[in-house]
Amino acid sequence: MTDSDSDKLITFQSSRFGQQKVERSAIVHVMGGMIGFPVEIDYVLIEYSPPFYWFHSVQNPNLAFVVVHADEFGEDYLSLLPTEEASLDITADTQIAALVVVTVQPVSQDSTANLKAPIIINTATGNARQVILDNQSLEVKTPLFSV
Amino acid sequence: MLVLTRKPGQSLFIGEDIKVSVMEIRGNQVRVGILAPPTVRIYREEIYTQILEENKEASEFSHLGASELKGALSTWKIRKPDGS
Repeated sequence: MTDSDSDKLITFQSSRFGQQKVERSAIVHVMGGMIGFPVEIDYVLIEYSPPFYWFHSVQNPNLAFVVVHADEFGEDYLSLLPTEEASLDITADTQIAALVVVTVQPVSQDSTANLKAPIIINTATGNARQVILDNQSLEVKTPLFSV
Repeated sequence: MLVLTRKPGQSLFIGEDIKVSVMEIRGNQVRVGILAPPTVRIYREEIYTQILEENKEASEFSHLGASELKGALSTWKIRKPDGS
């Protein structure tokens, strides 16, 4: 049984990359939007320069975030991610993906990662949320690169 | 802004689903309890503002074109929190 709607290609505009086509099923719905951006709900992950992706708004051509998968920060960080998130129907058994927003600086070496507020995605439903973690040791501006 | 006065042990409702209670007052600190559905986010203002500002900064990098960014980012290796 096929669901032709979920295979449908969606077109959206990117001010950086021009017209993009993605499968509807690839769209991530960020509940409430990214913090500070409540209007834009739908995003897609676009491969960029590994391990970096763009988390690109489908609704706003100008809005995109550079992200990496949370795995880049090792098991210690992964163990701090929530195992339950009622708003996303996430329990300990649910498959999730987690993305970390990168703030790129003009001097790229100074770029930082926001480990305090990752984007948690329920990969089955495509629903996501930017979750602020309680852990006091996590920094909003964590230096990203080794010296 | 609606301003109400409550004593420790008193509460107020925000809509039907959110209950805010003053638990205790100690010196210049108020301990506040919040009962809300799990879908409602609750944040200290200062941390919420900090994340909001960081998101705004992260979403703007017009100082580098996308292709320059690619080259710049590939130069460096991500460090793990444990320092490795």
